[in-house]
Amino acid sequence: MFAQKVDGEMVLLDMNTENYFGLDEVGTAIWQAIEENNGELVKVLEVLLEQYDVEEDVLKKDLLVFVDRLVESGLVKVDEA
Amino acid sequence: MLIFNQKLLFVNEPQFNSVEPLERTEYIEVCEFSTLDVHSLGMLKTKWFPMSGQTARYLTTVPFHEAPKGFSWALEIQDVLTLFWDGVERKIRYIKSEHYTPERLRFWVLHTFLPLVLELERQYRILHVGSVEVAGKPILFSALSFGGKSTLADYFLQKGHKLLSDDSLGIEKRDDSYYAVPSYPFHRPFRKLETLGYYTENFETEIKPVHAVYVLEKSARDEEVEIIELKGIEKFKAFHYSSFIDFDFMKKERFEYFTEMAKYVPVYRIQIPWNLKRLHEVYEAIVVHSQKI
Repeated sequence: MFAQKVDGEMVLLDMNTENYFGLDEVGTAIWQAIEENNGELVKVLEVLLEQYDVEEDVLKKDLLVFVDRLVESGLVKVDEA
Repeated sequence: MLIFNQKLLFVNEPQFNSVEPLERTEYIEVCEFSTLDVHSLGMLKTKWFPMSGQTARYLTTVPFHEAPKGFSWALEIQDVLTLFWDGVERKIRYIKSEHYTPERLRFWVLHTFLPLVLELERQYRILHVGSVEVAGKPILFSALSFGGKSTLADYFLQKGHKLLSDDSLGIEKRDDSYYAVPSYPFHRPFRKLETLGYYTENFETEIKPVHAVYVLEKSARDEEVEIIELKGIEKFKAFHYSSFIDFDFMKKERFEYFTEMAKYVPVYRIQIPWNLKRLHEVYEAIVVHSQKI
């Protein structure tokens, strides 16, 4: 997987499928938080809660939906802690 | 004449050479190998694949992805000719096959082989785009096959603009700037394989910064001409899908190059009413728009 930021949006390349993905501003912030925290979602949630004025339950749900989509697209794998 | 900023010398087909004298050190020689048996070299061969209406395959001494800079390799166009790149001497050699003609030699060298050499040597990236100058600045036209690149480039040419590329253009990175490297002075506003088309005198040879890229998008005959700026992944896609060469082993560096280029080169989508009688509207919209950037 390769990722580069263009105009504030993350562009992702899946080397296996050669599919490309674009993330919007919020998706990019989540992706960067995942990268910076080695994929630990509890830490990612904490970082995003500091960044965005949002209820924890709402953000947790959005984060899980986002991660589910990444998993469905084959961009990440989830390991149980 | 300059082809992708290189001087070529066709040793055995002098009718293709420019009239000005060349110093030996400053050109790439294109010379016939009359005696070499290509199959005696023990080179690795890829499978045959379709290319510009012919069948072709690559031959290398080491796999492309393991090859050092300046390595030698070949492109065999079945029953036409085999072109060798001598990476040490920086020369193009060729062996004629049954259906060889001088015109085919020139086509394969200019259209295909030299762009491959330059990309593999990492000298330039080659984009499959049309390109002309507006007010002395290169603009690029990107589109799917039969998407109107050549037709539009031809229209600009008719209006007196200089041509940089009808089919493929070199891109040179200098710090954070990306420069257009004109390809060859031919344009082909018709659909025919294995031909360069018409020669034009109105050809730019100077390398200049890319001013803007226009992605051509077909629309209904009665739609308005509309220009929209692209951002993020859409900009990247404009370059990625215009890549002239898609070697698998280069996809990471291609991705990095095009995402970086997308940060510095403005890209626009232009909706083109699919009606030749309205081509002047497209022309005028691009000329006005490009001068406002």
